[in-house]
Amino acid sequence: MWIERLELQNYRQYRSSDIEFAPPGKEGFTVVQGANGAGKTNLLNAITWCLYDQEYYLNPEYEGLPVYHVAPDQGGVSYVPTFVQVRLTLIGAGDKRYVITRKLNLRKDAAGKIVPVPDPGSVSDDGSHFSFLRREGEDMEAVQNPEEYVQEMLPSGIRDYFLFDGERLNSYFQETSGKQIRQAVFDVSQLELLERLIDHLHARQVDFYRDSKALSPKADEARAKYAAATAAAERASQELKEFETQRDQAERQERELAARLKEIAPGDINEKQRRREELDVAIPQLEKDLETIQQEKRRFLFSMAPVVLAAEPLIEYQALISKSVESGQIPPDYTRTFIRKLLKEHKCICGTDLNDGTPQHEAVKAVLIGVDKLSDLSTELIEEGARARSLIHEVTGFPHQLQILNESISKLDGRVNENKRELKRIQKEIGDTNLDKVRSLESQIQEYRQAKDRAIDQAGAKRHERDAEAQSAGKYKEEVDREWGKDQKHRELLKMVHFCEAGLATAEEIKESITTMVRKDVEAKTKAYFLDLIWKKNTYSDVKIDPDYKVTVEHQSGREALGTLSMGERQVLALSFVAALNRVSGFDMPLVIDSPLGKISETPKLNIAQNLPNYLKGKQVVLLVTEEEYTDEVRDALRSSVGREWRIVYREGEGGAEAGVVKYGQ
Amino acid sequence: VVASEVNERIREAISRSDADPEVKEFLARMLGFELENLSKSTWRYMDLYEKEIARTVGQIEKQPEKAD
Repeated sequence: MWIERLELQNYRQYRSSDIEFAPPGKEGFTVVQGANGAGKTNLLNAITWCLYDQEYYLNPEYEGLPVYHVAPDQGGVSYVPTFVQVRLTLIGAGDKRYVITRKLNLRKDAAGKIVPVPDPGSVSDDGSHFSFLRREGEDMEAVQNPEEYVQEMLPSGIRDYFLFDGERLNSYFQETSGKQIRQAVFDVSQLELLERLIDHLHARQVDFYRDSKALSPKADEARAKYAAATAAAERASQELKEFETQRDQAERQERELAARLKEIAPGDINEKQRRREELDVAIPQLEKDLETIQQEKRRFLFSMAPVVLAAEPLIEYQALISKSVESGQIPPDYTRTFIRKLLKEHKCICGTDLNDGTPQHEAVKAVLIGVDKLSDLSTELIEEGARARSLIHEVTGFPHQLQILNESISKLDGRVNENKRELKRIQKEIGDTNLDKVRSLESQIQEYRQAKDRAIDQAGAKRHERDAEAQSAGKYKEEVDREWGKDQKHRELLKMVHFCEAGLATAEEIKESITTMVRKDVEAKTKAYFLDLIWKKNTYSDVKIDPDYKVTVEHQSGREALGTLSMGERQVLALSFVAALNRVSGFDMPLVIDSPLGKISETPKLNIAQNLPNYLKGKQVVLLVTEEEYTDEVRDALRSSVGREWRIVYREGEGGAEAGVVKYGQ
Repeated sequence: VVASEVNERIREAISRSDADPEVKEFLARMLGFELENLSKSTWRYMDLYEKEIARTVGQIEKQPEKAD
């Protein structure tokens, strides 16, 4: 369908305006430019009033005001309208013309107030007359049930994806839940038809069961068990879905937080921090150990210094003693005991008498005195010699012992330095990282991980429960079938029920597959349009609509970015989503956008102006824009797509305002 | 009507499905009926469902006889 013409008679600020739209073809865009408040949005309202008897986009300033035109006084003469009318002329397939008119007659009441004159045959809320004419040959024929025809042409449920206020788009993903997105996808898929079919078929199936009750109480009993088991299986299935959703959500959250963590703390920050704390303890301990061993070395050196310095004389001293021993100088040849025994026995071993007083006795006695002295000295010398030997041994072991100590010191010193270098490197790597934030993120990740694990466990248990209930339901179903098969009537009912079941199963399967297909199609197109339209070419990488219809925008880093989009970026996302829905819907209706570039700055504005015509090839597009939106650059960018340009001329006076539409440039 | 073009997606899915031909034909027929009566209340044509189900089941019943 293509809007060929929009005629307004006494509609709000328009006394009489006639807008001819760009014809189908390459230049299918029509631009209507007007200042804020001049009446652009009321053109959108005029279209919805004509089609649906509703003004969906009414500004608060117009709410409660009558739909008819109140012109400013002209020289004290007030204009009194006798009707308000909006007429749309459409071109359909095969160049067929359709004329849709909504008209509300007016009159002045006794008090001089203008009041509507409801049409006797009207089904509209405001009593307006509605007509839908279709050209047949040379004549125009009235379409039967015109309201239904309009609904088929553009169901009011999806009108928001064809006629919309661009300025409201930026709040779209703030206020819109997954449920609404799902509804939008659902609406454009025309699955309402299939849903109605499923509802009706299911209702009939229930009727067949109910009819069978009186015929077979046993069947009814089995049916009740079957219904209970089926309901339990369904409940378990729903709960399973919830757990799976919880699991997916927790997993998604975990992924997003991990990506954020990666952004603020590259590498394994936690491991680094743990190592830093370890080094903070280890380094002082190693330094303490080093100090201890250095003290030990000092003590060792102090204790060994005299010995080492006296090593040479000691060696000589010990050698002398050894030599004396070896030469027999020490100890003395005779022991004191031996000599004393000779003196006591008064007999020398040579047989000489050693009687007291004899010279022999005195001579031996003198030997005893000499031996006494030499014996003590030699014992002392031998002992000294042993001590000297021990000291010499220590001196000999000194270099080795010193080397051991030095090696230990060097090793410890090396470890201290190595640890200090590592600590410095870690400190540099960790830098200004907000460790509290890191810990908080890690803690949250851990919570989501636990939540995911819980959900996996619960889903597993629920899956078993569902399968068990489904198995029971299967057994009861067999019982129902057995009971029902007992008589002809039941057999007939059984066939009807089975047929309904088969139909329902197929319809449900188709519904599911189309919903998924459309969701993926909308997702792919939204992503393509968004990444094309967005001016930050290296910031965003993906747009997703998950099975729960949650829309996400992925940052290049992998984190979720929907919440951080600017107002203009959100508007571009919503514009992309709506354009995708429009494209996927298959409805061949014009796209009328009020203030499409209102919240968008200059460069992105041009980008959109250059790309939008590509996405909406073959579609009729009407842009209602302000002067600020329709800059010379934007106009140039759209030039090859625009077939008609209009400008709203607005005049405000005492008692009312008046707007008219003139060709752009006049 | 434009909506019938959209409806084509559902019709195609029905024809591609693994269901019995009678079920497919029934669903396509009832879908067309839903499209025609989109704005009507449900109760107006619940009888039609029963009639169509009975008719289709009746046709299925007759098939083996024809084969005999």
